[in-house]
Amino acid sequence: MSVTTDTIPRSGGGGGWFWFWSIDAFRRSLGLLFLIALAVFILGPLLSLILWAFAGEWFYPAVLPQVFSLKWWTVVLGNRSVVDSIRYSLMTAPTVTVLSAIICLPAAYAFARFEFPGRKVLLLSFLSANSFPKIGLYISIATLFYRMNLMTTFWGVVLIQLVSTLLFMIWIPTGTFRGINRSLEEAARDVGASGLRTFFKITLPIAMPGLLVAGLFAFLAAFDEAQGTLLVGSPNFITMPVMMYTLVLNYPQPVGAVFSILLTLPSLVLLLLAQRFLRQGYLAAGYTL
Amino acid sequence: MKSSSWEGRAGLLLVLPPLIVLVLLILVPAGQAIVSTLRVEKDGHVVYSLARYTEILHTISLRRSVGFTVRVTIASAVATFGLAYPLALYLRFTKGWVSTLLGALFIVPLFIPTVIASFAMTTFLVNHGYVGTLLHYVGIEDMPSLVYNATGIVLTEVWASIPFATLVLLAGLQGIDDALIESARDVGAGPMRTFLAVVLPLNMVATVITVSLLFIGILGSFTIPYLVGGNAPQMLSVVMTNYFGSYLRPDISVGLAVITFAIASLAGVAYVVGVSRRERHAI
Amino acid sequence: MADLHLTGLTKRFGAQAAVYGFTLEVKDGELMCLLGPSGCGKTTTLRMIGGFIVPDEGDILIDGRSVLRLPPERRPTAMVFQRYNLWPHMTVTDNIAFGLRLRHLPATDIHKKVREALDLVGLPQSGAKWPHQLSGGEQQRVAVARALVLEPKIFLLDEPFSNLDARLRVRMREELKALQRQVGITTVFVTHDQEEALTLADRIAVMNGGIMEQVDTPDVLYRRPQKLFVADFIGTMNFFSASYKRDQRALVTANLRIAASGPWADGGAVTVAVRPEDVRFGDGDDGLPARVRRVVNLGHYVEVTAENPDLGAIKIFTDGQRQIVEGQMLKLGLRRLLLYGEGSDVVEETAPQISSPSVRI
Repeated sequence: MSVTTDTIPRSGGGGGWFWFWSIDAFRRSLGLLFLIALAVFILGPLLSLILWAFAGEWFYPAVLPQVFSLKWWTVVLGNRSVVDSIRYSLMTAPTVTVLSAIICLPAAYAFARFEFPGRKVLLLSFLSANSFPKIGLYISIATLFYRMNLMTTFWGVVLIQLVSTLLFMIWIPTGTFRGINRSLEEAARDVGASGLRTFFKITLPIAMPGLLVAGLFAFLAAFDEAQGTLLVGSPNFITMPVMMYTLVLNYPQPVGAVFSILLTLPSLVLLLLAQRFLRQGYLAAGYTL
Repeated sequence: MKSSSWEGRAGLLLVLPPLIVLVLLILVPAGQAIVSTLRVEKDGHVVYSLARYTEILHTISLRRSVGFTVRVTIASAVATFGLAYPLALYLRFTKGWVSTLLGALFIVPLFIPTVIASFAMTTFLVNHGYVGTLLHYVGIEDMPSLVYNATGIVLTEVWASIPFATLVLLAGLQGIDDALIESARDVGAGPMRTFLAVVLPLNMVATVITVSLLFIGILGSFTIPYLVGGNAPQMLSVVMTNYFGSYLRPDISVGLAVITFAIASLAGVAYVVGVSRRERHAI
Repeated sequence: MADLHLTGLTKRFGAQAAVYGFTLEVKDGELMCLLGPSGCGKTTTLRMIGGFIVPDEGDILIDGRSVLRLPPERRPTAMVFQRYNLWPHMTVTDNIAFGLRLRHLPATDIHKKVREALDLVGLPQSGAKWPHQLSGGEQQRVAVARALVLEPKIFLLDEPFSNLDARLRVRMREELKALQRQVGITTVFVTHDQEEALTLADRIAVMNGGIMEQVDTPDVLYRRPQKLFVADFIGTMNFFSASYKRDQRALVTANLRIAASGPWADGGAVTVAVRPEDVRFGDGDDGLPARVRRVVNLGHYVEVTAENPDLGAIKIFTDGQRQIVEGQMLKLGLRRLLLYGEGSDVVEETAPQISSPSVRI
């Protein structure tokens, strides 16, 4: 039997105090309340950001800007270093994502499919990429990069951003590959496909949604990386998030707002593309080893 | 057909490239950092001692920063968890347009770079910002500041962490068979009892994973405390950056990094235990 | 067409042997069932034939030639898996054509063969569909078509119907049997369902704990199980134990004496097995007294459970002609006994002489 439609409180049991939970209308309105509160909390800051980006004049305590204007957009897009930062970001983040995929995907496959000594420990060791404070690492890495003449170079920036993508590109694909039933691969071997062909014709296409989600997260992690990029890239390679630090701290609020919207665009495009796959738990699959 | 030794070799070979990156860019620098903090020059000789850590722990502002960081991290992780768990429960067990909208909403912060999130949060929460304006119309004028202090950091960390926490918890909840829940309801357990006796224990692993990864992520975050935090006390990652860039004491900076790492390792242990419990369940 | 020969196959996982010294000959065109409880090593054996597991010892010969060194893709075997066996990102046609395309056949040939395979499994219209649009039974038929289209020498099936509902399972079983007869392909079929094995197989190899217990036709296997395990595993069987008195040439229980002789130790325990259909109702006062505990009408026959102090609870199958009610006293006779002693094969007693000092028999 189902209790969800009960309107009568049950006596005894842990549910006694929460009998009102059983009333559908109560649950619905509670859900609605939760939705509204969360919407204000999550969308509020973004809304305020968008308003600032189009504000010509906005003085407290007006609810909306007194004057709407696009003048800050011309200011931002007319700034040479801003345009450069957009270009650098769109150069580095895709490069990092592709490089990370090339390095990590075969490893993820091995983690998912092969049994070898130290497999679990090695898989866990990638967690250290996210648990040692970045600044501590970067100070040591900087010394190494000086020696290798990687400071203030494109590849130096790519390498430093690569660090932030490792965890996503190993764990999510490992979970994805593990989720693919082995008999699908065995069936292909059985009808005469070699190991490599099986991988490219069967495993890879089936894994694609999960791999796209991993790629998306790697891209965002690389695109978002500011601390290391600031240290290694400046002053030659100022990417968008690094630029953002400068804009937030040194320019009027609308400039930061306009730039924020520009900086969010690639993510939003990816969000729309990946929406379908995100609901299927590929992200979580990666965190369960 | 592959034999197990072939499999072992191929496995190690394929794992090698990211492992080299990990070793060169993380393990070796981290190791060097740890060793460098122990190396102290004394009378022209290099000796190994804990002198630097004693110095750090004797500096009041640094000690306060360590405490502040741990407190803010715990508060943020607990608040995120407290928000994400009901959200995941609602998404798992309730159908309808409210659920659909919530499902679309909670994922949004995932796609907003943290720099933007921090900046947006300051424009939203700052005195005379949007929240201030709205409160002004309700008649509240003298609100304690919501930003450039611990409150601002916690709010922004929660904002940025909700998608991750909800996704992992939701995946765990979706792994629980409906029949298990229905049978608990069937024998007369109310919703609360069902949750405590069935859902919560079955979702324990996802819970441990969520909390420990939240803790590690928030502990080491830089951008949010840098842009939303106040002048004093500051979170450790901001202090480290200041000691490195402004005070020219990279050794103190690295020492703080090691301390942070040690704290993060505690959460790492919880994570490993949680994950291995799942593996045992799977058998 | 081809025959298959397994000799001394052994596979260990860690210290545990999953399959041990397994020898079996499958004749050309024969349908062989590997039957056993879960964990008995039947699937491991099948996967060794398919090339997915390398045996530690022994050999696999197809048409007299060892295939041990060949990877799965080079073996002349084709396998139907338990489930999830269709590639979800390919249409039915692409699933079936995948193996043919690997062989670089001309497109017209591939087209023709796929059509024939779909006709063979009774799905001529489904070529353009996606796997998720098919029912469970249809998916399994496509999997069969995908395996057979390559004209393998040996056809392997790993519990292919275990994920189908009961009705469909029976239908698919009959279809498979007809198909196998039509194509005449040498087939090895793994199942834990004895009914499936008994109705499908030409011969059945019963496995337990990684070891072959008995290989025989379904009829022999049912009539004369060689080992106690097989007697217990196949069909319904009544058991009671007796001890052997060599000087009396008899098995004795508390009240009964059964004339029998066999290679058993004097005083040793012997398990006596009786099929429910080998128990008859005695007339008048003749027979072993038993009280009826339960009567279950199973439609085409009636299962009666009765209790006797020496035999314990005993199951009897009858046609339901005679009215039997619970609590009633019956007289029972035993038509045929199978006797299992320590370390020896079965001894069959077709017309046992049973006597009792206390009861008239």
